[in-house]
Amino acid sequence: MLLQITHETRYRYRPAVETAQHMAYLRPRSHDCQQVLNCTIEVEPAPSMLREGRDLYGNVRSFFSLQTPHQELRVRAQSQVRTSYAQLPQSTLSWDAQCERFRYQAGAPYDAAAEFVFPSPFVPRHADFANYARPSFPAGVGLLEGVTDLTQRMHRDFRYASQSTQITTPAREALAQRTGVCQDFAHIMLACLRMLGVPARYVSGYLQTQAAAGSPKLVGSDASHAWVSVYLADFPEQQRWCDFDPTNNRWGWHSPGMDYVTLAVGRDFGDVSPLRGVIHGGSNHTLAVAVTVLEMTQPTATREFNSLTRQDQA
Amino acid sequence: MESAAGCRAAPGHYDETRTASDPQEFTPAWREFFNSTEQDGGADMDRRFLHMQRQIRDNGVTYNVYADAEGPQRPWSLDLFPLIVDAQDWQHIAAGVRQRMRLLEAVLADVYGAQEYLARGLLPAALVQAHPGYLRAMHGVPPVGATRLHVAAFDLARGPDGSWWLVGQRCQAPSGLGYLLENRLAISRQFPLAFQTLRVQRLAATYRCLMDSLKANSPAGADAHLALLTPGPYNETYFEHAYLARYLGLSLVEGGDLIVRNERLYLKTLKGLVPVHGLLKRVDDEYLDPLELRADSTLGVPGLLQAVRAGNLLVANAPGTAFLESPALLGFLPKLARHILQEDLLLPALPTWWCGERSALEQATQMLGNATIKSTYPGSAVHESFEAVLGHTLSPQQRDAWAGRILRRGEDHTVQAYLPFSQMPTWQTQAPATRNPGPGQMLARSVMLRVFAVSDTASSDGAPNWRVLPGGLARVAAAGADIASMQSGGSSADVWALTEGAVDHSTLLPSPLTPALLAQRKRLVTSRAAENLYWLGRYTERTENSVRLARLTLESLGGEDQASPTLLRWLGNMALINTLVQPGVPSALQAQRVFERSLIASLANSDGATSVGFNMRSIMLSASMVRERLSEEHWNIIVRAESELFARCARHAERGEYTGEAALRILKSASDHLAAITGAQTDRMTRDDGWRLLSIGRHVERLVFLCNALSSGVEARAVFQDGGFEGMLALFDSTITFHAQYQQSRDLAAMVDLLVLDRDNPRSLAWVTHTLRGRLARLAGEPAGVLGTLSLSLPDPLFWELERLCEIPDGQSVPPALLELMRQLRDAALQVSDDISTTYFTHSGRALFSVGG
Repeated sequence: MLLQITHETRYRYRPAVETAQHMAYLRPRSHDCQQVLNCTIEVEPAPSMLREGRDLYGNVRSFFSLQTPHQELRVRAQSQVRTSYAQLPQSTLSWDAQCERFRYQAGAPYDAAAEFVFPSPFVPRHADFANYARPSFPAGVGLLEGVTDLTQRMHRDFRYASQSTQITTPAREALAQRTGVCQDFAHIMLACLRMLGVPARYVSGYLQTQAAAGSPKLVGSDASHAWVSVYLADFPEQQRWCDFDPTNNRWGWHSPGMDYVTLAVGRDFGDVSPLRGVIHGGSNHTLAVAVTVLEMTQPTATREFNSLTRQDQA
Repeated sequence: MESAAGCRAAPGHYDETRTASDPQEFTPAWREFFNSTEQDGGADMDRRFLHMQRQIRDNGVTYNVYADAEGPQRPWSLDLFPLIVDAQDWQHIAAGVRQRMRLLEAVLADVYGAQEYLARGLLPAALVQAHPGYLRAMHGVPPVGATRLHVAAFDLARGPDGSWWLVGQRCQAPSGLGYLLENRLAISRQFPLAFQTLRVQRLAATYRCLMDSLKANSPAGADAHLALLTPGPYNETYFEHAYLARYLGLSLVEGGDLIVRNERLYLKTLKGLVPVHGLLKRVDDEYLDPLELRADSTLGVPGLLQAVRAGNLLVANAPGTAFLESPALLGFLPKLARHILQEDLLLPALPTWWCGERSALEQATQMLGNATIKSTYPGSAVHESFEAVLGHTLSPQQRDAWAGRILRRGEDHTVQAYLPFSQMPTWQTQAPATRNPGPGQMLARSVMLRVFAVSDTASSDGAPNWRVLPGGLARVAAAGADIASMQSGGSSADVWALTEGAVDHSTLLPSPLTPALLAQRKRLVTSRAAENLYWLGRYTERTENSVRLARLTLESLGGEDQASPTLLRWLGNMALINTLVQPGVPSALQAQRVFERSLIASLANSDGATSVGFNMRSIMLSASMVRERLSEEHWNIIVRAESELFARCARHAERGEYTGEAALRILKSASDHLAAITGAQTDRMTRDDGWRLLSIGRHVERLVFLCNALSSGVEARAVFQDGGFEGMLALFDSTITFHAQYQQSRDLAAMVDLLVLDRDNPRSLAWVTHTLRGRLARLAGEPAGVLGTLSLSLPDPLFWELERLCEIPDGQSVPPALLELMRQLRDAALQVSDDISTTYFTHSGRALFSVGG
C-alpha cells in the first residue's frame, strides 16, 4: 500500500512564548514491511536551530528551538511510505522457554532485547498486570499463541473511550477501569508481558481509517496510534519483532497490517512522544492535532520545505 | 588520657584507638594525639567541645532536615575527636579508591558505548538498563574532556579484624566536600598541637587539583567559567553548595539562572548572558533537562543535554552515572576488574549478592540473619524500593517474610554481608542542646568513613587520573545504631589522614591571573540574585518603616494625653495603607482599643495584614536566596531578628497579657536588630551592581513610604498640630535633626525644608531622590554625572522650591504644590520599580511549561 501521512500540530499561546525548545519523533522508520519514500517536516515560525539524529533505538529524533516571541507554533510532518503485510510466522517457542533466556546468568550470552523486559516510567511493575495476563499464558503454551490470546482478551474486555484518560493516567488505573485509549492499552499490554518476562516495546504510529460508506474521508480525521511489538527469540535476527494491536484486535509480523504506519519504537510513550517541548512564557496554551492518512496510487514529488531537511547525525 | 583509657569499643567492634595485637595499647597515632592534647590545654574536653560547637553555630553550618521552606535548619552535627587514619592504612585506601575510579570510568565508557560487558554477561542488563539512572539520552555521547567521573565518594568501614571494606559508592552528586572542610577548620583549631605533630595531610591541594582538572577538561580550558548547579536553598545540603561555591570560586547557580541557546549554556546576569563552560552539579541527573528527562523538573535547564552532546559543556559528573550507585553492582566489580584492568581489587567491598541471579539468590536467602537487605534500585519510582533492613534486627517471622519477598522479586533486592563497624572515641555531653551541657565523657561509637576521589589533569600518556582527597567525612552512628545517616540523627567527625612524607601546605590560591580570569573574578550578579537583593533592600526598609509607624501609633494610642482625632485619623489611615491592620478593622477613631488590639495581634501574624512580622520574614526569605553574598554576621542577625520577634510575640499572645507596653518593647528590640542589619548592608557588602540594586530597593521603598506619610499627614491636616508634627518628624527619623535646627518651631516651611529639600538629611526626599537617581545611573553603566532614562523619570530635586511647595492659595487648606510633588515622586518610584523588573529581572522568572508528552 502507498500511504501519505500528514501530521499537523498547532499550539496557540497566550501570552506569547518567548523562547521554546522542542523534541520531535515525526519521521517514520523503515522495516521489512515498511519503506519510507520521503518525509519532510515544516516548522513555523522558522526555528533558530535544528538538529536531527538517531536515538538509541534507531528512531530519528528532531530538536528545534525558537528564540523569538511567537503566539503560534505549527509543526507539519508529511511522509510517504510503502507498506506490506506479513502473517505471523510459525514458532514453536513457548513463552516460558523464552523468558528463561532473559534471566541473568553469569557469563551467559546476552540478548539486547532484554532491555524491553524491564519496567519503564509509563510501564511500572505491579501484580495486577500479572494477574490479568496469567490466563493467557499457561505453562508451556506458545509465545505467539499466548500474546494473541492476550490481545483478543484485551480487545474484548476493554472499552475504548476517547478522552477517558490522559497521558499521565497510570496504566494501573486504566487497567482497573477497563477503559482507555490506544496508548493505555499499549501500556497495559506491555506491563502484562514484561511482568511475565517477555520483552515488548511500544510502537508509535498511525492507522488509516475508513470513512463511512459513501461519504468522503475527512482531512484530519485520523489520529496518532500506538500498539505493541513482541520479541521472538527463535527468529532470524532483524526479524524478531511481531506487532499486536489490542485496540483493534490485529496482528502481524513487523506490523499489524498494511494500513498501519510505524513511526518510532521505544520502551513506552515517554521515549517516542511525537512532539514535546519546554516553553518560556505562554502560560495558557491550546493544542490542535490533525492527522490524515491517505492511500495514494503513486508517489508524488515532495515539496521542498524551508526548514527541516534530513541530515542524520550519529 | 584517663578518660581515653576507659573508652573502649563494644565487643565485636574493632577499636580505632588500640593496636590489633594488644587491646590495652594505644596505636602510636592515638597515643600521640592524647599526649599532645594534654600538653595544649589539658584534658578539658568540655571547653573544646563548647568552642567547637560555638564555631559551628557562628559559621552558620546547617543541614536542612526537611527540604522545605518551613523546615528547621539544624546545626551541623560534629564530634570533637577526629578519626585518625595512619599513613599505611591511608596509602592502602587511596590506592584502592584510585583503582576503583579507573574501573568505574571504564564501566561507564562501555555502558555508554559498545556495551560489551553486557553482551559478555559480565554485567547484568538489569543493573544498567532497568536502573533509572542509566540515561538513554546519553548513549553514544563521548565525554566532554577526558573522563565522565570527576567526583565520587566511597563509603568505607573497618571490620572486626581491622581491615577496610567498601560499603557503597556515590557517583551522581555526592555530598560532603564542603562539610568536611568546615569540620577540618573547627577540629584542627581545637587540637592545634596534635594537628601539627601528627603530620596530618592538608586538603587544599586536592580541591585545587579538581578545579584545574575541571578547567582543563572544559571546552574553554584555563579561562573556563565554571558554576556549581544547586537545587536551591530548600535542599538539605544547600549550606554546603554555597560554601563550596565560595571556596572554589564558582558561580552558585540554579536551573532558572541558566539558559541554553544554540547548544551553549549561558548564565543570565545583570549584564546579559554570560557563557558557562562547566557545571559541578548537585542536582540529580533526572532533573537536569526537562526537555529530555523529567518534564516536571523545575531544577534543570531545557536543552542542557544537547549542549553536552555538542561538546560545549562539561558537566561533572557526566549525566548518567547514577546506576553505579546500586549496591548490587558491587558484587560484579571484582570480575570486571580482572577482565578490564587485569587486576584484583585492592580494596574489597563487603560481600554483596544481587538476588536477580539464581545462584546468588539461593546463597543470600540462607544468610539473611547476618546481612543487610538493600534495595537494588533505591528511590526508583518503577521498582519496589525500600529502606535498608538489618537482618539481625528481624524476628524469625519477619525474616521469612523478607525471604519470600526476595524470592518473588529477586532483582529488586540486594543482600550485603553485615559487619560490625569499628568504633572511635566521641565526646558525649548530657544535653548538647543546652548552653551549659555539664561534664561530658568519652564514649566509643561506630563509624563509617566517606572518602572522595576527584579528577586530576591527565597523565603524560593521556590516561585519565584521579586523586584521593587525603581526609574525608567520618559519619558517626548514634548510640546503639549501626548505620550512619545524617538524616537520622548521626553525627560527623573530621578525618585525619597521616603521612610519613612531607605535609603539602599549599592553599587554594589560584594560578597566575590572566586578564580573562581577572575579568571573571569580578563577581557576576545573576538575574535571580539581583531580584532577591532588590527585594532584600525593599523589605529591610519596609520593615523599618512599619516598626517606626507601629511604635508611633502605639505610643499615640497609649500616651498619657488623649490623642487628637486628627492625629488618630492620620495614623489609622497610615496603618491601613501599610497593612499593619486587617482591612475590616474599625478605625482608631471609632474604637481605639479594638484598633490597638488588632494592630498588636497583627504584628507577628499575616492573616490579611502584612505587618512587621511578615516583612521581617520576607527579609529572611530574600536573604536566604542570596546567602552566599551575605556575611555570616549579616545572615545571623537576620535569623535572630526574625526568630526573636516571632518567639516574643507568641509568648505574649499565649499569656494573654499582650499590652501596648509589651508590644513597644518588642518593637524596640526589632528596631535594634534592624539597625544592625542595615549596618551590615551599608558597611559590609561589596558595592557591586548587586549591592546597588539592594540600595535602589531601599530608596524606592523609602520614597514611597515617606511620600505617603507626608501627603496623608498634610491632607489630614495632622501636621498642623503638635502631635502630628512630631509624628511626621518621627516617621522621617528626623526628630533630633529638626530640633537641633529649629528648636520648638512648628512651622510647615521648616518641616518641608528639612524633610523634603535638605540635601544633608539622608531621610529628606531630595536626598533619597538624588541618591536613587545616582544609583540608577551607575547600574545602567552611565559614567558619573550622566543620567540614563531610568533615573530621569524621577523629578530632579534641583527644581524644587520651598516657597512654592509651602504656598497655600486662598480658600484652600493644604499646599497643592507639595501634594502634587508627593504624587509625582511616588508614581515615579513605582514606575522605576516596574522598569527595573522588566529591564533586569525578566529572565529570572520561572515561567517554564512543558508541553506535549
